[in-house]
Amino acid sequence: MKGSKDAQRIARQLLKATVENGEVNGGTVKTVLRKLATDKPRGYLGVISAYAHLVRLELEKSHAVIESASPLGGTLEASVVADLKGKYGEQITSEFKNNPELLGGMRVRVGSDVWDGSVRNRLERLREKIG
Amino acid sequence: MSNILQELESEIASLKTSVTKSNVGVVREIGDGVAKIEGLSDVMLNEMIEFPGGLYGLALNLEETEVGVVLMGSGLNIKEGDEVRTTGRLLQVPVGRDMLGRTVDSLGAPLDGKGEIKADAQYPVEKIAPGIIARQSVSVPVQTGIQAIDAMIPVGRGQRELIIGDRQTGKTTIAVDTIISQANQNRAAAEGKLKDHKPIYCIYVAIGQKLSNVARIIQTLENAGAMEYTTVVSEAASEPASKQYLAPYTGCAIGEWFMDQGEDVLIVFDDLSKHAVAYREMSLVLRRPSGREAYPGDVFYLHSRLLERSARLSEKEGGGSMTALPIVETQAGDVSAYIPTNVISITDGQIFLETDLFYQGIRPAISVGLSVSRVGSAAQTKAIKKVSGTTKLDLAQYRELQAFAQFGSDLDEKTKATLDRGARIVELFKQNQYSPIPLELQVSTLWAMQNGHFDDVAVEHVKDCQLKMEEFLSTRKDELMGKLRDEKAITDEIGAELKTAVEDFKNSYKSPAGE
Repeated sequence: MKGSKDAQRIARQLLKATVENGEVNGGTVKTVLRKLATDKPRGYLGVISAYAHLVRLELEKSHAVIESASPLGGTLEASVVADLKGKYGEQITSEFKNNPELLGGMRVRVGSDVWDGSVRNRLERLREKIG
Repeated sequence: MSNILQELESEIASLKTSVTKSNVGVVREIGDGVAKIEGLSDVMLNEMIEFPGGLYGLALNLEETEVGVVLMGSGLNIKEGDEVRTTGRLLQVPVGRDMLGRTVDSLGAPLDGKGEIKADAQYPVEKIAPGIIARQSVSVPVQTGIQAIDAMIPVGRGQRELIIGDRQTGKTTIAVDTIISQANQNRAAAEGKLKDHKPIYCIYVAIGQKLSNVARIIQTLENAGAMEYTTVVSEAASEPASKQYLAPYTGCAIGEWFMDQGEDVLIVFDDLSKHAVAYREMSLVLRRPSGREAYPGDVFYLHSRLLERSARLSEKEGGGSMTALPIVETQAGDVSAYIPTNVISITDGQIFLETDLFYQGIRPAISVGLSVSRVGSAAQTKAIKKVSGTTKLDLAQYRELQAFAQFGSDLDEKTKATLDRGARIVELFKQNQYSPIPLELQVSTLWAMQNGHFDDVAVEHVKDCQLKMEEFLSTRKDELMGKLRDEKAITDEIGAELKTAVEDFKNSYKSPAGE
């Protein structure tokens, strides 16, 4: 899954070239992929998969997944996105998901940070406190 | 009434929940008790990681895009894609006086079915050892109750004395005897029979042992009435390597609490070879580079940071102490293997047990030449120091001359005397397991030996004579024994009384052969 050390090293260098001001440049990614596919350097498949893994992780850092028990509606969604942009910067992308298991409230995940205000989480913490 | 309302309100306020922020990751790979987690951008080294279902893990490898976490349980229900979260806590275990008399696992959870343990505090499992300023030198003895050790390889409070030897040479027995001896002394002190004795609490850490062995040891301690002063930390061979790896640190944390209260503790690690093996297993699964005998590079640090935590604190710090008796198993008497040399260099001396001696019937099978105590002699009581001064030398000379004697050549008087003395010392130092000898009887026996009172007893009857003398002294000369116990020194008066007592006994003694 991890590929060879060389592939990892090359993929890291490619990623460095792809990220500009903390943002992944889509154009550069395409150029890199095209170049790899035409030149086919030694072990290029390993490099591509390692590169894809790193790009995915990089993209996840600035991608927000907003889960709610029921659809939020246009205005609420817009205000949530505006709040997130204020906190994490303009480059943040967002995705809204429906998750009835949350029972109520909202759960926002950006990279590996989770802001959990869902009813399910609150109930679980209440259960921990009461023991 | 207002009090009740206030309490109710504060209870409700504490139950109010708001939005929480946590740091999460996703399980990418799981197997052999190790999970590879993606995410967890805020994780700290050695932090506890919470898995679904209440299982915890320890973050040990922080890599570029992944975190290697060892699971503190079986982890059969964990799947790829499961979400885990950081807890912001290092691993802690409950500690306190309630731990005495209990058997716990490496997370401090009871294993003995005697109900919940009321903890006085939570202590981190990994802690930096007390510094130079906080320590004082070792000057108070730990009476092991094993005559050969107390006379020749004394152990002091705060010392680290390694017990090393092949399998089945009585390593655990020495540790258990020492625990029983501490319990006997603690009880005597509580009954007012032992003056100025500070009790020593004991912790026995079983790492990777057979459950039947651990059960037998607990039974032995219970039969001897030692369990009430002892905590057993057990991680048997069937437990995951991660828990076996933690067990000695948990034991250490439990001991440190007593030490911080200004009390004295004795901790036995049984055994550190299995601990190193458990750590090797974890490291290999975590894909850390392996070195000699496939142990990871930091296996020395693994044991040095553990054993450095035993100390004798200065009076300003409360004056507590933690004495460590680590046990290491050798293969075919090879002390130059990796783990034995490491632990020998960390500790303040070693008690080396030999298979040959064991099968010759010399038990405890302590090899006098290879055993040493680097700091303990400063802690010996005056009485023992006076009567055992030359014993080690006498025995060493005896062993050397024994080789000559085997040729059956004619020996001069001096050599013969050395051989005779040596053979009798060897007999005197033989001791049954689980029967520690109190200080005053040890001193009396050694005094009698030094002053030639055993010279006219045939070698094969020396043991019989010693046992009968001990019985005579403890029943008929109770007052003298009491004095010796209190003074802990042989004054002129005690010396004279001891002489009369031993002569009295010798006049009435009849050996089994009727001489």
